[in-house]
Amino acid sequence: METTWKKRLSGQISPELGREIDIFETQLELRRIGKLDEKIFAETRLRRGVYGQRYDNGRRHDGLRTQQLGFPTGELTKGPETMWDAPGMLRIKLPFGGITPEQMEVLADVADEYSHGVLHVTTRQGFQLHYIHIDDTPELMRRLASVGITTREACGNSVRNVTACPLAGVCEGEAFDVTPYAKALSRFLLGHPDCQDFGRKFKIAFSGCTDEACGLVKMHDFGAVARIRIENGMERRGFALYVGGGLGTVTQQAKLFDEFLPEEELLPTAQAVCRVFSRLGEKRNRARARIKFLVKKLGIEKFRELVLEERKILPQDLLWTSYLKELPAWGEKPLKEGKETSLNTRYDDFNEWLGTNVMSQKQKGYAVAVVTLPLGDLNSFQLRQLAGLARRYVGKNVRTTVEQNMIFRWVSKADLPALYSELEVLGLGESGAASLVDITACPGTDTCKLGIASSRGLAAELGRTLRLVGEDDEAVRRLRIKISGCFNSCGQHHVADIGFFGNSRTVDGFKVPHFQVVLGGQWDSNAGSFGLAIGAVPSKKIPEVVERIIQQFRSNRQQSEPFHSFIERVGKKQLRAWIEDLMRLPTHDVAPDLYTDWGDVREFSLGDLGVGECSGEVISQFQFLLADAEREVFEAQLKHEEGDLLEADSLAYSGMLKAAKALIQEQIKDIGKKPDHVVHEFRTRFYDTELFFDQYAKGKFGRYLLQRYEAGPVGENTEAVHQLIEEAQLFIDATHACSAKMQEQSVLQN
Amino acid sequence: MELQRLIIQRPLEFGSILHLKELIPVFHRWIQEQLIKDHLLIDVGDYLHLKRDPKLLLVAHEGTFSVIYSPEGLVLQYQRRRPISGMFTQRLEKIWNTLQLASRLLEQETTLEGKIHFEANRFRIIVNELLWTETTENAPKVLEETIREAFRKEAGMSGFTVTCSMPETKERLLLEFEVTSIQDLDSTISSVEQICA
Repeated sequence: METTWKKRLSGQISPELGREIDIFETQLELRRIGKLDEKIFAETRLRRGVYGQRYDNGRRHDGLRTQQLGFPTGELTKGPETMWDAPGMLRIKLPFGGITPEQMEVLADVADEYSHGVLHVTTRQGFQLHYIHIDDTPELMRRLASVGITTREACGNSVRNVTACPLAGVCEGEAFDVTPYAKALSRFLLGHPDCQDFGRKFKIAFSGCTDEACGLVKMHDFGAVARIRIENGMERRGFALYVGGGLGTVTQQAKLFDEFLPEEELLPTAQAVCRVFSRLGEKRNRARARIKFLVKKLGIEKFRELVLEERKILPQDLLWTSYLKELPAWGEKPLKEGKETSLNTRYDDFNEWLGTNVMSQKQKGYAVAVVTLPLGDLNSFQLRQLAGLARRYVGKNVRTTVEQNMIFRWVSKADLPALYSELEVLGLGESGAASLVDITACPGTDTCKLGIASSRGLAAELGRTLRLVGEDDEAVRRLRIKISGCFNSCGQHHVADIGFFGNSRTVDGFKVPHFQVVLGGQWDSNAGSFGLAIGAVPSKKIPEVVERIIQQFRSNRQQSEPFHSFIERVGKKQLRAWIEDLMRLPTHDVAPDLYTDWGDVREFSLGDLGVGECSGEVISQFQFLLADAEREVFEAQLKHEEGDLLEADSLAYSGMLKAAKALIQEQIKDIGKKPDHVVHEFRTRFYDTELFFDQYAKGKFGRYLLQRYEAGPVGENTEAVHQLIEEAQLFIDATHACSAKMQEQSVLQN
Repeated sequence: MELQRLIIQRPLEFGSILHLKELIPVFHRWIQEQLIKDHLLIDVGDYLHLKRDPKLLLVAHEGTFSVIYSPEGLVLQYQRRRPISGMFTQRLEKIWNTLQLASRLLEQETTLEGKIHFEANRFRIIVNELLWTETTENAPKVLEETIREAFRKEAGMSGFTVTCSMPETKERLLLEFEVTSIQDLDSTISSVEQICA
């Protein structure tokens, strides 16, 4: 019998996760044979982390003309304007950036086999693999699941990877370790029914303190900053809760929702916020569908009032607080004994690395070491070797960072020289973490469908030249550069000292890649303020912009004046004057190279821009449930063919229940899964009222569900099961018709 | 199970002096002209910022070409991504021919002014399929003998040596071949394919 990963890993994957992946595999098959609508499938795969990639619309401008990419599966699509065979991206969630050596090795393996051996750390502490074929994704997901990694809800209109300060638990300045809270909330909201009907994505961050950059809470949809309050002489843990922050084209600082939310209220409040967002958030206009627009529209007071009302009526859930009982036992275990040692004894490169990449922990004898990844990239060999280093030095205490690096925590200080030597051999001993040369960039035109200019090309060029120059001025060294390939801010340019986002201008009749210069954003204070847009400069002239701005800062700052204060004091007019001449270009015939982008010899074009999948398709909960019901009926057919009649019966019945539930949820939210409840509500709301009735067949289709409910399983009778499957399909068709009728009535009433 | 995910590498001659950026316009032109038979060339990937491999990619739907550094110098690599039907030798032949075509194109590339020459007698095969390696008893030996036997049947190929390595660090199974000449190998693989077909 053929060996497959599914068979080989059976027993190593949690049944729930395994079942989810099996379902996704069936959904792939349904789409392949045309039985699942492409829009629903698109949002389905996005919610599994299976994202599109540049050129997946089957077109690519090769520098001379736009080529039609003739993929073998022809017209088959995996979403609107997205060809089935086109390479795609897989986004992998790592809550709070936590990663173990076993997970690193599996990530390296899958990068080798399904991608091209390169892994990219994202600005949300996750990983991305590029050039993935969709047919490979179930197998890939199983391998990840075998080490406890999920891609679920890594994309689409869902709760994305929950991020947290990478120093949580080891930082001197934190109120307490936010890691277990981030983990609990991440688990609680994953696949939660109240998070399945958003108009847009929802991002959560945790921070241990207020002043540092930490979790960048103020640019998040939902952000929690650890707080301790003394009540009756006792320490009480809680969070300052912020909502409605965001970057993108319309930036907004998150609003303070509650100065002190007790820890036991964290999960239910998050659930209530999700419900309000789900119910009142914009669904049709994606450009205004993030929660920040809802908070702005309602005002924070009204928003708070609605959330608190929702909180009161939430059905009690043990999961809200069950994790708190485990908190006393929470804590990372160091692999080795922490030893203080005199370190300043080695050669310059090590000392430099020590100065920029190593921080002492609050625990005596231990340090955090940052592994700097250029542009967030490392190859599979490096990741495997890092897993080995983790096993030798820190065990499971490794995390990714939003600055696209990895950190080793709980390094015994005595081990730092040895660790550095080994990192250096791997090509990962670069110094300069969290400094001018440690540039953050989104994928941009390399792989993103929305990328306008080459953020990675520019970042690579800046990184190379700034490293060559070196920098002695500490205030300059500590500046941060962040680059996005378009206005969507995946590179977090708004919160950088020096930020850029890609756009395009027409000069001399040619399209030219440009970057908008954004200065003075505040990384500290949890992304305390956003930068000022100064003007758009041709991409090839950006290195000169950086040089000039740094020079001005070096020469004209007042004593110990932070960069963002310097930018604010100087003002937009003067800042623009400093770079204005760089905004102009000579004619194309004089300097054609200035009309191209970094790392790309093709004539610049906007022809490769695709339709973004950042926000996914807005698919209602009803559509999702119906698609799921149809999937179950399809699986019932397969089981029937295999002769597994009991399972076929069960799946057909379950499909009808799901379809009924989809209708009921149009009227009431908390219906639960119990067949008794679903059938009762269906009977009273849709059957007895005749709302479900067909013009000619009357109540016939509705009776299919009621009969199966009352009579129980049809038994191992192949004809009876076959009939039930057909009835289930007719019931689902009738559900579609009923929903359409309800919509028509609603339109007429309004 | 069928072994599908194979990687073949050919090292450049020692002393080939090439700035990898020179290859970027070359790969873009290959895409413009779709120069690799039976392949849909899609994009060029630039990873020159990495201190490790890959440095440059030429991405096709069927497989990925990359230029990498090995301890001995530059190497051209072809990583098969999509399955090929047929027997193992047929798949091997197809993959080999693809790499050979890319090698020849690079050697003949006028803009590179003859800077690229491939070694005449060495190549490597890497098994990029962990499931096969893990589930095939004594996988290194099985693979080595399969290929060795295939070559041996075609007399004239007795002069080659195979070094097989299965690194302890969970890296992939790698076979290193030293042959009399690549040209002999070309004809050998074709003949083997004819016999096995």
